[in-house]
Amino acid sequence: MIEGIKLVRVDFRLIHGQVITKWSRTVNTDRIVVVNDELAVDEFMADVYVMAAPPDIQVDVYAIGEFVERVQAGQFGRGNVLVLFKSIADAKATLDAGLVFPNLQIGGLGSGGGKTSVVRGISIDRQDADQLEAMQSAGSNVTFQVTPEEPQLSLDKAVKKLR
Amino acid sequence: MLSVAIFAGLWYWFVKTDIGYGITHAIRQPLFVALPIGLIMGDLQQALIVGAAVQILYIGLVAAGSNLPADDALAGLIAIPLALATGLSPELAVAIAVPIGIAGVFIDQLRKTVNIIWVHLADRYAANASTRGIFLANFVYPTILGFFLRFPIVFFAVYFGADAVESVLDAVPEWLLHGFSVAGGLLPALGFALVIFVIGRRDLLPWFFIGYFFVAYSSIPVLGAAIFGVCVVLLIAGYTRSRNVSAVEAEERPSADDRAAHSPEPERGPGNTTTTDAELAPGADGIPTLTEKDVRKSWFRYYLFAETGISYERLQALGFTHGLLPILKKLYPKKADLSAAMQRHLVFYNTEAVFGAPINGVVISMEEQRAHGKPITDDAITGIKTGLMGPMAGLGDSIDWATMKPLIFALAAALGATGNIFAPFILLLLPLFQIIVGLNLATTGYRQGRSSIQDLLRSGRVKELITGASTLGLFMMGVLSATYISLTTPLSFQFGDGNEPFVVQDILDGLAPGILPLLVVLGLYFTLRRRKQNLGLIALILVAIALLGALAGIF
Repeated sequence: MIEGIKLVRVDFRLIHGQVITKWSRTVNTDRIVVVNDELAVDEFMADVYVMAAPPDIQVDVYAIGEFVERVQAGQFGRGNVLVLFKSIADAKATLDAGLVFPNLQIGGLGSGGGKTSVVRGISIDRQDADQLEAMQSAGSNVTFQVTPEEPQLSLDKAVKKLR
Repeated sequence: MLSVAIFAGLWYWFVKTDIGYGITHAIRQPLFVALPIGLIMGDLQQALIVGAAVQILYIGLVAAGSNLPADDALAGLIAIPLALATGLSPELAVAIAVPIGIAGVFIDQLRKTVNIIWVHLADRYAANASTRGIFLANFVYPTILGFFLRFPIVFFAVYFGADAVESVLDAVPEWLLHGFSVAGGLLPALGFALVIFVIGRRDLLPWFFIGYFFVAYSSIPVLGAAIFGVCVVLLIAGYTRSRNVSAVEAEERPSADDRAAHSPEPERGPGNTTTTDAELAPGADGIPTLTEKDVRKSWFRYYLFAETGISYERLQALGFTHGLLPILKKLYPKKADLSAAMQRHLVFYNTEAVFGAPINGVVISMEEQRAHGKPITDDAITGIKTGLMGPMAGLGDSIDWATMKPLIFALAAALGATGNIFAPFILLLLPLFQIIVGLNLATTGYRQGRSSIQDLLRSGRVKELITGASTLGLFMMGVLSATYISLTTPLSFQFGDGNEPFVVQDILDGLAPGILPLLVVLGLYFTLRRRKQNLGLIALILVAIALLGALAGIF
């Protein structure tokens, strides 16, 4: 069902340098799908995301519901798609809607509001951890990794860093 | 050695403050530091040649999200003086530069962790509207810390390193030395493979092969090949443009006049809020009107200080606020307003400083309208910043760091390899390009508001620039790979006394010249396209292969 999706990443900055110059190249993507309800109705921002991508990468911005439908309709079947979520909650909502990604990469989450830094550049709180654990037990292998050059951390090890 | 050790230590400290973004990035390069080191040590020619050899390793480093994969400055500042003092060949200098460069990454991580302290201090300064406090937190404190992190390691390594290198050279057997030379000849391949990886355009990959075999068959020098490459790219761009224009004209293109008719007044500020001049007349509400000069100055200040106080917690938050200070001081005469504005901007921010410049312009325009009483909320301002910082960083990293930098630095290194004294100055073309682009984008962002970003992206000029620079970049990586990677085999087999010996290298050359180096680059490129990319480990494996090959007599 999720054929064609090569990398699923949660990154609060969505498309940025690390995604464009590193991850899109490691998975050799030709299409980035940004999944976010607010952006899908924000014409200006969606426009910027679509146009700021390199010439060889197509960008689409979908709301969660629309994304789930498109995946279930097999629309990404032949692609090399990189999927970006803005938050863990969005990824979880997608899972609740029936999509289980075999692998989920947590790549960037801002600090503040009582969150604990588990990897440089990634901060989560207890609620995030609970959602991730739920996704992991539903069949998604959750890992933390900012760039390909940086070490990868498993969910278990990340959760241990929370008090 | 004392004077060069002091120089190298101080220079490392200075360039790693990151003041001046692309400026310190250029003058920290091995090729650039070769100039003063060569002058101090009295062997400029050799310094430039060694500097260029080490430089080649680092033309493809992209510090996306400010995560540095290797420390080019540390490698050059230690390896070049040691090579000059002990008479190391450029290949051996490269072999010692690589581990040094990798070690440098840890210092940077430490710095960005400790810098978190200053951001928290800045929160308190902002609460008191202390603009001086922002300067202290973003520049003075990190710079003082930087001295202790940066100076001693380089000073001691240079001052005591020469003796250590000498005694190692005396002790190691001939084959091992030869093995390290082989490794030094192979390691540039990692630099080239990295550039191919970050450019990433597989559709344009044939350009790499064109560049490679152009040089392999004709032995044309790098700069000569570059001239051909630039001309070809310009021609292609010209043909594509004329074809696109005629295609669009066929679909009835709106002319520039039409568009001007639709919007007689340039749009100002975010969205469609247009403001008439009367509303912004100076002194109408006692708040001065900003000029485009203010905007340019503010962006340049951000360019200078964007990364001096960078920390893992909020990255460029301090730098962005620092750049805005003169504007905010002008707009908000009341202490409470100024303090609120400073606090508003001390939130997570990170983008590519040059192609992120329209954001600075848009934000300045929003702050100005807010100061004049327009209902613009904190959330609107933060929303623009956090929404745009990612896409603009993606764009900027692809243009500035993944294509322009390797192109300019490769040309500089090629010139430097001939011992040319102008070579280090070529590196400065990168900051020059950035400053021109950034100043322009910042003022456009201010003048036209956020629609300037759509205009910029839609114009097609940006994509044209990316495709052109990517094409040239891949072509040049081919050219450089064929020129600077050396790998040959002395293997030969003798079958029967009467027969000519069977020389492996001759057979390979008969297939295509330079096929071994080509295979190395391609192999590394595919290795890099993995989700766990350990540059240190890859370099180590490369060295191990070189050493084993030398021991076995294959290389």
